Amino acid sequence: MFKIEMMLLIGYGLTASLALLSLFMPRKILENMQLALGIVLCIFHTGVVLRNFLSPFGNPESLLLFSWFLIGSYFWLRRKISTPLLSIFIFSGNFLLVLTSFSAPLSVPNGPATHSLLFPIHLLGAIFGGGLFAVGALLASLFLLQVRQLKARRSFWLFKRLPALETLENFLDHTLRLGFGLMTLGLLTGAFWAHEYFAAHWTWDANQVWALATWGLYGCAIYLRSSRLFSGKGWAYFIVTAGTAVLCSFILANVLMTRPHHFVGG
Amino acid sequence: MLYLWGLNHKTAKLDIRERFHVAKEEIPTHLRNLVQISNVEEGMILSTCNRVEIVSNVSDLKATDLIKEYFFKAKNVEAAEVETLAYSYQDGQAVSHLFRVASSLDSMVVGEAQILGQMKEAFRVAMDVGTTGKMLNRCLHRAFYVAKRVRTETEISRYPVSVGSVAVDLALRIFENLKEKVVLLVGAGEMMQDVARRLYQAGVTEMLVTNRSHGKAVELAQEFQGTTFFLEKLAQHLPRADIVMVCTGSEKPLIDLAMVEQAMEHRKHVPMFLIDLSVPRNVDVKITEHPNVFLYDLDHFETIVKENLDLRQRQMVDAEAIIAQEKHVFLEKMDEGRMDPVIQSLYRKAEDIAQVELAKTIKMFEHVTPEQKEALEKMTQAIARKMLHGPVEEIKKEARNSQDHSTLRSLLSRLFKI
Repeated sequence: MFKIEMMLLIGYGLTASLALLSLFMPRKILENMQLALGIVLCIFHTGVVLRNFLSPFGNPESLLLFSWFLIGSYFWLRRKISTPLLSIFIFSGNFLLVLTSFSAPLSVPNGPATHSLLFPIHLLGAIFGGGLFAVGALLASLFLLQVRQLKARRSFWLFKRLPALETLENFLDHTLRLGFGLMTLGLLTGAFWAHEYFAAHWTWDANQVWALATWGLYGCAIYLRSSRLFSGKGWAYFIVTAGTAVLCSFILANVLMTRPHHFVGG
Repeated sequence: MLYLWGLNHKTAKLDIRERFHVAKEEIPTHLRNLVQISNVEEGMILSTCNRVEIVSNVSDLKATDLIKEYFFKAKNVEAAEVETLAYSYQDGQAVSHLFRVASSLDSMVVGEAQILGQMKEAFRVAMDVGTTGKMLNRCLHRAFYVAKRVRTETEISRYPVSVGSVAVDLALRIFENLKEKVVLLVGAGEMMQDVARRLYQAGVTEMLVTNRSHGKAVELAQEFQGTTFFLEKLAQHLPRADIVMVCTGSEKPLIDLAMVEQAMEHRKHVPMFLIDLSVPRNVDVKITEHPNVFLYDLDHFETIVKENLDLRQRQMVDAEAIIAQEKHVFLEKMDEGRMDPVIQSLYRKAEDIAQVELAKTIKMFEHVTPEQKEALEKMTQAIARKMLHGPVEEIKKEARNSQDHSTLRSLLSRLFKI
């Protein structure tokens, strides 16, 4: 099982290194190599994810699914964001996620609950929603870098290819709304799934509580943002903090917890 | 032989360059006269504010002196005045220089975009007059291709170096595009006009103009289909503006922190970009405290322009590498091309011999069907071509490595009696 994952690890490490190199030595050939490697990694990673859905799905698989979502979002983002910083963040992030998957508790055979249609929808909603919040943190970081550069009123060569503030803000707004929508779907389907197989919509499970808190927090933030009570640097710092917390908690939960929910498995 | 002669801003001061300048309407006449000179086969004249260069294809070195003589006489300039200031290049050096000029590496502002358009125009005029041929066509087309490579593969043109282009570049770091943005111009002087023109060309469609003298504001607004208002109403109109440019002679700030804070409340904190080109400054520097407001003054622009010029210079290393590579490839092809007439004669002779022998052979048979005749014809042609393939490759190789093509041509002519 680990052979393909090891190849992914090496691939992501190599691509992140190329991205770092192209930050200091901008060359078309380096960009093309990154793109080509990224496509190859995406194809391999898709294969891994599809294989995982046919086998017991646990913590390592969750981490790999999350990182697969990140590589997918890389291709979506690079349509408008061409800075090497994007590649560095995504590929090094994926390197760490794949590496972490090696130390996550191994999967245990799942019961009949995982054969329900609600299960994959819940899983994808929750993981992709969280993934979009992490991507939001990345976009907000780029926003803060660009603001810093503009406020300093010099041209930092390192950040020259950052997109416009307005582009980043618009992308960020779309990302968070989409993430919130997916998270809502994940929560609702999760509740129905838990009721169907475990006789209760809600059991104050740690993951459930954390997901609900995240959902609520982002919901309030999006509402305040839409009325422009929340904007600029303050908004960006909030998204960076919240997104980083979502990412870290997701990784920690998958490394420390043997089951995603206490009522599943065992 | 490709020959280039001229002078530019690096070698000659403006007073000499302007005397040597060839006006647009005079170029066709000079081109026709140029190719009338003995041993000058092709010619092109590039005359801009920073350089005058004559590019020609000559079959004898003596023609180069005649070219210079012609222009000294035409421009009523003494040879002694200009000789030490002018430069001349032949063949490889001329190719290299043309590639560098087209790629704007020889320009006053490295990476500027104008020179390529000027070269293309000069080439077009020469083509229309009929003074270009195989050599100049190949060389100039290659120069344009090399210029495109340099622009796309390096960042030599990426960094803006004029106040107007820096303003647009900064605006595009804040706003995704400028089409739906509102620009407010406070002042109507010359610098304001230049920067406003740049923003207008970048896609701004709505301009508000105000000035102490309302008449000048109206004049400026008309140029950009803008609207005007009186200066006293500045605070009322400020919230509408995404980009504010200020350049007046006022001794006191016209825009202060309170005005900006009020405007930002109305704008719901959508970012605002202010450019203060005035001396003394007309925008209170305290407004930079506001997180969504970005203010740049003349000093900041100067710093950015200087940094960008340095960055462009750094790109020259990569650009020179591309030019060196392209020059090598072009010269190899040019050397091979010099053997084309001989190689074509060789193939023609071989085909003629094959035809003659085929005709003789067919006469020996009573009946040869058209299909058989066609097959025999193909066979003889194929034998001739295959026999010559090896020698032709060696000829091309020798042409690439040797400087003396005339001796090689002469030898081949004697060997094969062509």
